[in-house]
Amino acid sequence: MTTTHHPETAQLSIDSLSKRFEMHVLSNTTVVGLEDVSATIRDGEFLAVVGESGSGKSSLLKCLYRSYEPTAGAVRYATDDGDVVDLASCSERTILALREGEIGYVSQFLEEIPRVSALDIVSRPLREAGVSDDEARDRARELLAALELPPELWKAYPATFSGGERQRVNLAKALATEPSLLLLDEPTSALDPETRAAAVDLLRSSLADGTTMVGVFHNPDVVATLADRVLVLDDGSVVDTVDVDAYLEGVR
Amino acid sequence: MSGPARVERFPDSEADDDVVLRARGIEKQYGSSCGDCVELTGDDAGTNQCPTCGTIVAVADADLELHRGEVLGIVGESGSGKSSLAEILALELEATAGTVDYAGFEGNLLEADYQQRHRLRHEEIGLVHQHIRNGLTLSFTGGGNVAEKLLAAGWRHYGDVRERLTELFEATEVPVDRMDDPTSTYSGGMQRRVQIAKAIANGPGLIVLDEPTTGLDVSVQARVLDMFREIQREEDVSTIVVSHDLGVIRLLADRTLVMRHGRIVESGLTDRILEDPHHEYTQTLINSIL
Repeated sequence: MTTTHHPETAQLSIDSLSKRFEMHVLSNTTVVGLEDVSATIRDGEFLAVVGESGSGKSSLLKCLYRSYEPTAGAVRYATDDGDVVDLASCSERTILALREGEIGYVSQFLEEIPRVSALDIVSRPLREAGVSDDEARDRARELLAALELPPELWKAYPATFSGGERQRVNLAKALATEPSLLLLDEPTSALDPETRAAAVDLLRSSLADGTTMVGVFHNPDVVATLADRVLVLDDGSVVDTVDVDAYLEGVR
Repeated sequence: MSGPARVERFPDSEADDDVVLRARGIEKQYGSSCGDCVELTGDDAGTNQCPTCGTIVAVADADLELHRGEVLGIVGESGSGKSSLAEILALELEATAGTVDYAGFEGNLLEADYQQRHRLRHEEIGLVHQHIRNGLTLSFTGGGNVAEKLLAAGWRHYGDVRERLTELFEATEVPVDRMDDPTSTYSGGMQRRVQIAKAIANGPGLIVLDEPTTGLDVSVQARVLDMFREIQREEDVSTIVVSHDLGVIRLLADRTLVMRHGRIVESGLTDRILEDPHHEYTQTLINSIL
């Protein structure tokens, strides 16, 4: 995967994105998830998304990944091939191809086939991308070690892991393929401070390698370390988009 | 099966040559049919039985596309028509109407003559039956069950067949030293694996899995699904998986169709169906997961 790094070009341009849920089971109530959200994320930038719970942070990430189907608006994404694709409206096939090759998503929770080892979970996306078994497992070991997952757990099944151990597997899996765009939804929420620092280091080196990130992090220290800019959401709408320093000044 | 090269997928290539199977207007009726059956049944009518003549409309108006290397899930409750649709596509069941374009086949696949059907079912389309008894002859050996498929495809040399069987047993994680034991002596999980070995034996372009976890212990289900997923990815074989179990669909399917009363009521990326269901029925289904 070759990614040319253009600091000034937009990797992602979100234009008036809205998401409404029609809940048939609640006698056809409409719930607003996002309302007219716009933002531009430059290539290699980290945009932190903050807001109260229920403000639409996860909805935004899910709309970008198309786990939610946007109701209105556009999301222009610059692909590795130099094309621009509207993630809000492109075909499902296109989304699947982008997910396989260049867009990653990490949630708080690891969802995997039971009885597959941590090492196989992390190395699988690489093997599926055509990397040899040995090379893929080496890379997986490297990442799991960097995230300080004890080696005795590498061949174990994550079903019995703690929340923090699972999150490390999840993060390693997403980083293994070196995506061009990484969507992060509280991927370090269950980590202790020391492991969180290791995870943040790894994300920072991935940023340095050119990965663009949009992330929701509860911890202000993580935001301070990683983010370039901050998008503030309230009730599904953008309140403000500010540089991280200005945001942190307001918080402190 | 010499590991076909992975197909290059470009982000905005919507090229038709990526489509392995395109089905239009698939319909299956059981009964005398009064001519209004399709209109009087379906999701809006809330039934698949014609109120005028009693005909069962198992499937109607079903359109779908399957791309190379893709896994398409079909989910719905019993009687929704999902198995009928899958069996029609696997050439196990005659449709009442509809057309299927299948890569490399001239004309409507559903109108294939007896010989073509025979060839397609042995070489091109692998069906893994829900009920093991329908897919395997339990008094035969495991190797014999799979060899039957190889022989039907023209394999003749004994050594080659044994070699291929060993390869298939290894791929599906069935102990090779049990190959010559009667299939009736195998565990449920092993029988399911032999069925999968049989389905992939001739390197098919399409595999149809009907309720792949039926009859398996929970502890065995996950291993079988994972084994299948590995093989599916390796061979890049297009797959249709039918299940009432959303857990199976979530683990295997890239895209999913939701069926009810013989109609496809919703389709989309599997995670979108699960996290942002649109149709009333899909919302009820998702909210009913234990």
